[in-house]
Amino acid sequence: MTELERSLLRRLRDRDERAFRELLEGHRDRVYNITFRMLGNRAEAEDVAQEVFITVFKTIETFREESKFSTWLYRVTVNHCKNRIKYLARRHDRDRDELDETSNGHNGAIGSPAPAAPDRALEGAQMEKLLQDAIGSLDEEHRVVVVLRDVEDLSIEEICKITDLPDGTVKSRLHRARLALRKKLQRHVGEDA
Amino acid sequence: MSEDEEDNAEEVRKALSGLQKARAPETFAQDVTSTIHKRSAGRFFARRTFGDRVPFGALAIAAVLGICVIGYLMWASQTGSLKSSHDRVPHDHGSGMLLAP
Repeated sequence: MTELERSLLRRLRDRDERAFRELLEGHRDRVYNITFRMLGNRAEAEDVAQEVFITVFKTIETFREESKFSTWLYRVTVNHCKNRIKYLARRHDRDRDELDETSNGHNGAIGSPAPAAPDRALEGAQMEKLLQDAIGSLDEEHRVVVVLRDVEDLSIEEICKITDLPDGTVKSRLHRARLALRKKLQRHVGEDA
Repeated sequence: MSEDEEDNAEEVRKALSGLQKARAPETFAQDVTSTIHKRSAGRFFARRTFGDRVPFGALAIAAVLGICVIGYLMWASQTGSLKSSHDRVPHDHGSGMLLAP
């Protein structure tokens, strides 16, 4: 942990609002991206991301600095996502049709895409939706590892710390998740053809 | 793992890593801090007198000690209460002398 991070933590423990804003600025997009990919719905993702930061700020004193701050932050994020997935499953709320909002900057924006021809852009948006739907169809255990590893590009070691799972379990879940995604995508391409 | 499986997994990994990064709304930071302010009625930021938690244990001990002190004072008092005897002034119920105007 860097001296800068330690100083930020000290200020957070002193309930410094400016430190909290610095924390938000530094991590909000990554946390939001994880919640969005885990939940597949912008409103839910924003709500959960907000809860993550509120939890972090409320429980910052319980962070023992045994791991990186980001590891702890992502653990809180994953736990909130899991809870929300369970809650939504109970309510049978599985509406993840967000394709029409992917380029809308008003309520959360996708990172600026490179200019592309309309047909290629449409193709990209379709692929985006396909992948998001496929991720959403995985069970939460597989969804977590695939989002952290393949979408967020975190190391296996860090995923083990975040999920508190052994190395072998993470790798096998990741492998199964990728194969399941591949099957779902193939099925969809087969239906289209 | 077969070679085919490996290729398939790699293909999926590439597709997923190509997903665009979703960015939090511009008002996100403001929304979070205002939620915190709202939920805590403005008390969330800056330290509280007793830190983050009410020290219920310490308060309970202080209350027990207080009761013991009061009990001892009552036990040691000649009147059996916390009042001393000369505190007791008889009421005259309005039948006493009127003060001269």
